[in-house]
Amino acid sequence: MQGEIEHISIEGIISAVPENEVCNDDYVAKIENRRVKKQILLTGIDRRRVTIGEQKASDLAVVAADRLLNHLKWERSEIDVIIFVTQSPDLVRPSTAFLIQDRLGISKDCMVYDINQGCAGYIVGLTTICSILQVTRGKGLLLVGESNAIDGEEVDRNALLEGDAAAATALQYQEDTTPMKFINHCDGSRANYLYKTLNNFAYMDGNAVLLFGLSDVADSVKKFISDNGMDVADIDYYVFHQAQKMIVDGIAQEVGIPEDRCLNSCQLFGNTSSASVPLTICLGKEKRKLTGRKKLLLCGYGIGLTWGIIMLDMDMDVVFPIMESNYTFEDRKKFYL
Amino acid sequence: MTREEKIEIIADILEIELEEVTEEAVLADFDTWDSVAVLGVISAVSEATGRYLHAEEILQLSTIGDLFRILEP
Repeated sequence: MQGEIEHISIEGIISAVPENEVCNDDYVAKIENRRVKKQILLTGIDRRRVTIGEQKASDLAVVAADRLLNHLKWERSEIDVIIFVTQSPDLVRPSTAFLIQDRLGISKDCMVYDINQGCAGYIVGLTTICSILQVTRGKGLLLVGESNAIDGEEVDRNALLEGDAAAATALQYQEDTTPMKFINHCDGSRANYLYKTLNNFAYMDGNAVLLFGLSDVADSVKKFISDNGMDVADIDYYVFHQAQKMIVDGIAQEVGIPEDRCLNSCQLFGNTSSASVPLTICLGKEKRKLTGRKKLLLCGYGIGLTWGIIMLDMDMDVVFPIMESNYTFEDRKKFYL
Repeated sequence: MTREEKIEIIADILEIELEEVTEEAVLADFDTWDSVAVLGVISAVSEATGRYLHAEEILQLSTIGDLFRILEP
């Protein structure tokens, strides 16, 4: 599925991470298993943020969204839609977006729901919310976040990749914008590559996922660039989902993207699933002191399997610093958790 | 890179003894031939030759002999 999104602008992005930082190097010292040690070194993930206590992705997402709304001076009654992309919801049902609506004090004249998507979630979420806002011609909040990361001696190999984070993106209808271009792919025949069952059995075929990144994703990026009559050099910065350093580097090499055009965050924050693309934009802005309008190519890929690309002109001045928060909302007490 | 150096790299990737590194050994027969091993191969080839393996090249790796060949600059 592909198309153009007209008349929607991103008015702000804020990412939030837990204060608790885990150093994978500490595990290298403690863990006896040579293979796990090797994996830690190969992933290029040095540190991760992990929630502690009752804190969930929704807590981080709301803290980020609240600051963003205050910053933009948007009325809480103005929001048409809240979409929360997550695989770590507060409840099985209803959607966590309902809790988020209440925490943010958003009026009832609004549609809210979750999207169950992982590493391609930001692309799927952006496509969805932009489509809605084109119809309502209003304002919306796209929240993404994950809090599945584990801190402790019992972590398995795949858990060493995962970090917790969330991000809030504010969007609104505007007549005069450069269209975003997008493409989304899904392949349910490969759903068994990466999954978690209802009784919490998690599985990943690491090799299959690695090859998916290096082939399907890289090929799609190349085709997307050429189909749009562009060259790699026409895009200022590439923001790939931060699966792990070698996959990101591999895709970039395959497409022929110079290293300095790729923003990254996995070294400091790990694989943060749906939050990785906005978190990487925020970190890239901070580290490289980016200002003004930049042409970005955003690419998410992962569970489903899903992979998608959005190319857009982003005003880097509305990308705000990464927040750190351990705040946990009290409303969970309303539910028998 | 000498053949001995390649043997050491391959033994390290597959976590086997040096004498187990034989050209005809099938990679799929090793329990350790997983994504960590593949990442190890990508990393070793990148260090040895300065290039990044394509997905098709990884898919075609079938025996230890193939690992010797791709470690060739």
